[in-house]
Amino acid sequence: MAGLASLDDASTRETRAGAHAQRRLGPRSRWWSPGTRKALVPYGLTGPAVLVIVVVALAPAVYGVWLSFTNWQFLQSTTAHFEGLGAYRTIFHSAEFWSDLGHTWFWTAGTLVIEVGVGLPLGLLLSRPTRVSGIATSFLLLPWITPFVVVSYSWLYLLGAGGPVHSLLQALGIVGAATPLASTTLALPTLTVISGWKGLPFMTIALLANRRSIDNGLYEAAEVDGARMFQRFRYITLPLMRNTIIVMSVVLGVLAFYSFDLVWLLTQGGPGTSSELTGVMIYSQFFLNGAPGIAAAIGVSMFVMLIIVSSGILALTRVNSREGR
Amino acid sequence: MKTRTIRQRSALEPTGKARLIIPVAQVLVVLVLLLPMIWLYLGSVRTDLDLDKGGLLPHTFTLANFRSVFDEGFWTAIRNSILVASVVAIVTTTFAALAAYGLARFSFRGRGPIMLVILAGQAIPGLVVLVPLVVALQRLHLTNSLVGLGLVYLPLGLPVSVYMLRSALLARPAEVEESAMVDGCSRVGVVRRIVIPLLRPSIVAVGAFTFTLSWGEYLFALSLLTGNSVKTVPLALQDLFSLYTLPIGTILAGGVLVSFPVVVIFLAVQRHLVSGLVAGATKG
Repeated sequence: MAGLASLDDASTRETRAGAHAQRRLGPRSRWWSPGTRKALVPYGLTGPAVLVIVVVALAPAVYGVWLSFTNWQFLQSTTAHFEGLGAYRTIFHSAEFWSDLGHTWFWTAGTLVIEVGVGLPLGLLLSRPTRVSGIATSFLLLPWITPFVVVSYSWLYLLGAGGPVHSLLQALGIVGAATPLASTTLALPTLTVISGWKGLPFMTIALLANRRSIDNGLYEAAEVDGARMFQRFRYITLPLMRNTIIVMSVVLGVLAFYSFDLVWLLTQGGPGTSSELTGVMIYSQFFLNGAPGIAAAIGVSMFVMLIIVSSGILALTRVNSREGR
Repeated sequence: MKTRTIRQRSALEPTGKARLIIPVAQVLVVLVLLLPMIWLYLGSVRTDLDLDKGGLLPHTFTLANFRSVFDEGFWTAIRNSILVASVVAIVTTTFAALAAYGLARFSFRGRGPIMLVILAGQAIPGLVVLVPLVVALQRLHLTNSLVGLGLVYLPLGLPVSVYMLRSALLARPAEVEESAMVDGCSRVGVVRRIVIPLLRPSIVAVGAFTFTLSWGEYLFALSLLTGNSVKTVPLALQDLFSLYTLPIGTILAGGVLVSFPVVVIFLAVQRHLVSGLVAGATKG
């Protein structure tokens, strides 16, 4: 889904450059002529990048699909053999998979609610140029760029029994004497809030940039017509930011859907499996259970599900990158 | 008298009472969101006794935490991470720049599909290729090796980098390069004298971006590395934590060491980076 549309913004410039090349090449050049060698230049230039993507991303993805049809277990054999849908049957009959999937959708939706719910007002606030708006925006991005390991351990102490955030939540009566991460009901929502906090800066920046690009004439005209602040937001700002909100939600939603780091580092999916995501299940099926076939089948199922959902959302909301630009 | 350039006022610039309220609100909200990071940085220089008392502001100042992090062998991990992240950044940026130049300045059969293949790399998440990649690297005896890890990191930032550099090139007219070639300058000369200087800020931003991506990567490092001699900084930090004997201050100091390079690099290039990343995400 990434970037199908970025192909069509080829400027007239490059076509002109191409026409030049065509003319130099001549219609009757032979394959060994200098013209042919010149024609191979762009393939040589793009070759290394294409090779990396094919060898380290596309081929493994295909290999993963094959592995998912093998039901390979380290304990039973050293090599993978085709076994049809065995691994899929196993995961679809596993209660853990379905509950993990539920957690993952809750987590994805919750993360996005926080990112949009806080990111939209914050983006609008920071879109007002002031002496401090630039530096505030730069620093806002710190949680987004800080590695997950660092963020996770910080939160582990902040939320630990007696830690600063835990004490605050306890004083407010939201949690008891134990850390929320040890509670089967509070662990997942707590992790989801942290996930939303981590992704919030990127959403905010995108919305801020979008707001600044809106032509002010629209607001002036609305003001002349007597539109109040809320009406201007409702009928100008929101419709013009809708596409960015949807596209960014899909981008950040995909990221959230494939989460592993935060949950693994903070709770390892616990207590029990109450905060386990499908991403964590892939890891534990592979490394703890020695079942690469099952782990691959979970990966493929997640991929298929996400393609369906995100293209469904983009189709339903009729967003394409062309009008989003 | 000081001369000032005349700046056009943006319509978004607050006026009246809002001139006072809005900047204050901007600072306050950002500060609240940054509290966990502030706590981390301030906590790394506090004694454990002080940390136990809670609160945000330090009453003590000590560098002992950092000393004990290095006593735990953090240097090796820092060296490994610098090595992997630099090589990956250089290779990725080079490949991305070549591809971007090819895609932006040549029209050739298959350009669309090639762009599509490169961007498809962005659509395939790490978790989906985790199992097949680890199995393949085991076969090649490249697990527990920085070479294998670097290989896995290559496609991490490549699609976005190609996209950013290509956009940077498309934003500049090709006429200058064309007329230089008409005047007898070779293609290589054009690239060296015109294209590279033109792209320099974007190349630096892309290099910094790909460096930070592999510097803090956790999932593949966790899955591929077990030996102490090859561990990268995220794993070294995890080791500090899982010893359970180390005080909080040491872990926080470790966290600062892991995040500080990323923060410095980011703040240095963010002007060129942020707009490109946002464009890459929403249009990509």
